[in-house]
Amino acid sequence: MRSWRASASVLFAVLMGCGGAAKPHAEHAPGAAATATASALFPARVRRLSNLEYERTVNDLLGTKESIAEKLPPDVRREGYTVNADQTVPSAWQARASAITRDLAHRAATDRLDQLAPCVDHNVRACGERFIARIGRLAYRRPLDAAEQSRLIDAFELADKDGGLAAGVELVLTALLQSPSLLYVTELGEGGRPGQRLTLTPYETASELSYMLRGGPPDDDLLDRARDGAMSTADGREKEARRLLAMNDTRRQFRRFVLEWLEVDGLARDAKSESLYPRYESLKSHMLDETAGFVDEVMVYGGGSVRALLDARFASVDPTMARFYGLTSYGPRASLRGTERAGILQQASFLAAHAHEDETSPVKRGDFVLRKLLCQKVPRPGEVGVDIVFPPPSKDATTRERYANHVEISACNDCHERLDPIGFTFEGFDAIGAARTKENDRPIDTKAKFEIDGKTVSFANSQELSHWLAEKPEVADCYARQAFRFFAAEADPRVEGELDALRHDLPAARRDNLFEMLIAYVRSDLFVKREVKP
Amino acid sequence: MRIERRTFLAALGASIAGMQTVRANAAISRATERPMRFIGVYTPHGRAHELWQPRAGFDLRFDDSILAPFDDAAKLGKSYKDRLLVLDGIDLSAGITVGTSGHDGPRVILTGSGANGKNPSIDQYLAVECGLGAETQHTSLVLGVGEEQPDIGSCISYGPGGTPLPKWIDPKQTFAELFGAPIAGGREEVERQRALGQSVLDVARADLARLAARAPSSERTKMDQHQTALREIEKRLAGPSDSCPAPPAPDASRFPRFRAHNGGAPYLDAVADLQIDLLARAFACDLTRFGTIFLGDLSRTHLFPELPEDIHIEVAHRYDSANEHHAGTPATWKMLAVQNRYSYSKVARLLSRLDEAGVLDDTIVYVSGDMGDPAKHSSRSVPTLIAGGAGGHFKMGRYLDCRDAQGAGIPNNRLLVSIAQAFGIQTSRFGFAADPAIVSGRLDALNG
Repeated sequence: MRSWRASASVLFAVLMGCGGAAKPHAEHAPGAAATATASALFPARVRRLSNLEYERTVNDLLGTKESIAEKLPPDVRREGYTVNADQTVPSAWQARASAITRDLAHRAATDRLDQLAPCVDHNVRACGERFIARIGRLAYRRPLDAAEQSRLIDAFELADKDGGLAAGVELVLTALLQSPSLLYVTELGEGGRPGQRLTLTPYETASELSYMLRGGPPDDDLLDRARDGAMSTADGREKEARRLLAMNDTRRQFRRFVLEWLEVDGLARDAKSESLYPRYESLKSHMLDETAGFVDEVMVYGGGSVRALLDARFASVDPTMARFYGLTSYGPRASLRGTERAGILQQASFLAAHAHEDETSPVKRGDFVLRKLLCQKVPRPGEVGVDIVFPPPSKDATTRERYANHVEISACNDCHERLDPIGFTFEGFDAIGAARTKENDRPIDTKAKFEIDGKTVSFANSQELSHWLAEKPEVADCYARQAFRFFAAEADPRVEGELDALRHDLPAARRDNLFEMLIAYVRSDLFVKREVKP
Repeated sequence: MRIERRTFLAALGASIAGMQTVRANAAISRATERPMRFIGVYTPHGRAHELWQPRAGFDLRFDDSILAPFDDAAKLGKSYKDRLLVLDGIDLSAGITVGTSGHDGPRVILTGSGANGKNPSIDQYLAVECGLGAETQHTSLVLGVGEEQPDIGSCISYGPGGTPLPKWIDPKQTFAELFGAPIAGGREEVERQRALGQSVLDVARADLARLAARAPSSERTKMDQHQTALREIEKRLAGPSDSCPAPPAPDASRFPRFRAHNGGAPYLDAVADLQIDLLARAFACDLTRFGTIFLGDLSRTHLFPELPEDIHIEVAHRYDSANEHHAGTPATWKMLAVQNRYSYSKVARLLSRLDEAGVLDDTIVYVSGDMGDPAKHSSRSVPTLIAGGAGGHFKMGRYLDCRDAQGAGIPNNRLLVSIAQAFGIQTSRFGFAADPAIVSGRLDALNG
């Protein structure tokens, strides 16, 4: 089923432009403009890799394709995103990581010794030293200092004296795979006192670039460029960024971002009433495949823009999902003509993730649009001193009719007059995203009229809402902020203001292109400078 | 006998050389010192207050009583009524003021803080920050049933900085971490493996020290937590000293799945029993003195023929309580009581196991939930119990109504302060809230 998906070579062509070679757009140097006035910077910090980043790091190092992330205690999220500075190394994480890495190191040293530590001259110590210098640089994403080198040689020799080269390699790998220099991405530069600003080291910059754009560690080439000074100029960073963007890994990163932004990546753990939605369990993986395939299409052909995500007017569906949607064809760009679906908000994955187990949730769907598409704060009921009142169940009313009393209770009304109408436009889709025109034998009403930003707007259904959102500049701004929270692994409203400015400096044609936005960020001082927090 | 190289992992946290024994240094052999112990338990779905409140004379056995499992000598061999303190009118106030309530309430139970708090939960505060868990092989245990995600709706243990701590939810893993897999090999080989394990730790230590020296003070907490994690590994590396019989390994055929989703729900009953038994065993063997267990949203357990399939929506959300203006719907109380009683039967099992091991008298078991009235998702008057002997610090065997004349409750922070004091920690506040009145003061009435 995956054959029709966008291929890496297509992506390469798009990102490289018509000429096929990376051409830094130094002419307008967006970074420079923003830097001169940058009043806020991200904090100097150490960030533990997310579980997936850790998995890719270990696999890159060992040349394996092990699944590791799912064996670790799950990531702590910030604003829904797994890549963030809240990840820590509690005892339970360390214990799991230790057990996993011991096993992986053992297997690598047994099965892949020749590739990892080729040793033709049979001088085990010399081979060990070469191995440590090479693998150590990849693991720590910088050259080892003398003390580090000698500590690892000590470990190597301790194991090697009874077990030979393989034992030495195994122990060194075991140590490296769980060492703090591998586990944390550092943003510390050469250090500084509270209040001071600092510049990331070239190697730190290379790590930033690689983890941001491919979700994994810098390769040998990138480390070489870092050594040779490429990271200290905007053009040098852009060139490397474009090289990384052309790698297949970028697709995984963009998918991951969209799935976490949409809050659908937990769908596999989501349960629905088995009696009402018996198909759901078997459909879930198809739903997630659809969203992943669609996101790939939008990334390759739509520049990853929110406009394309919201209002693509096509679906990327397999035959199962095509049938579920009532489409006449399937494939990467199946027409949605004749349906009320427009883009990502009408995909079953999104609709199911933002619904209850046994009924839709206009509140959850409305809440998502306000929080994640318009970046508006929606207080939780407890915050404003309101107890939740569930609409009583009824076999003779639609969900919308049951929710009518929400706006009759004045304490609830303040928020729900914003939330509910947005949610009502999605009522043409049930709790697993199937289209419906009736509920409890009563007709569904998807029309909504409400005030937003002082203006009255009205929509016939969520398709019209999506179209409107897709063209709204505030949505593009919000989406860019959300993307930065994932790609920069930090959420700071002051820095996000700087990033907004950076994006608005781009020519209009490139402003909504996620990748051009990331390139502008990579070129800027926001990318390479940090402030030491007290 | 030559051991597999990979089994040197066993030396880092498991038992050694077929002895199948683990260190047990205090509870049994040092009875005179009688260290205090703490277990935090989360139970889901609020409570039907009408059937939760004991009747006159601390009667727990009236019709449909939710607390009946604590007074069930027929099932447990004795009643635990005299080891129970039922606390009414405990609010998750620090959370309510910042919107961390309802399904986010678990965040507040042991931290006394909303989502904006940075302090650890009481179990971690006592075990790690105050160092009371230093002597045992495991500083603390964090267990769960069904739900693994570290979100604030499914975690009661929080580390320094206020981040949720991972839970072990697979009884096989809990067993392996606590009692390990026996490895074959002579003493010499075991020593060799230990030396290798130590060298791995030495590399990590030195690396962490290098990093910590460069990191700004804002990252201190993270570095300290990592340091603690390495120390934890090292403690286990030191291996067993005394012996305490390890229980049999969990029978995995009883729970082909252990996650709540994708068809795991029918096995969560067995998983809960196994986790509780392992937790009690760890206390019995003095492998740890601090633990928490999150009895997850057991909403699809198919255990209750008299209840609808979906307890969350069709029972908890439908609960219709009585108040001064409204008689409520008793049928909905009885339905919720079935589920509530089930949760408490698991807690009673824990008490019984701790009692059998002779450690109940020195243990404070703090049982609470995220909601009082689940239909309102209200985090006021959450069902709160203190169980165990509490080392004689609290007067047990009674019902304590903490509500004032207007029906307003008190913050759970008072309880957390009292618990810390029972462990000999002289603090007069616990948790974080903008209003200092929420986090200050203890609950004097606990002491009788």
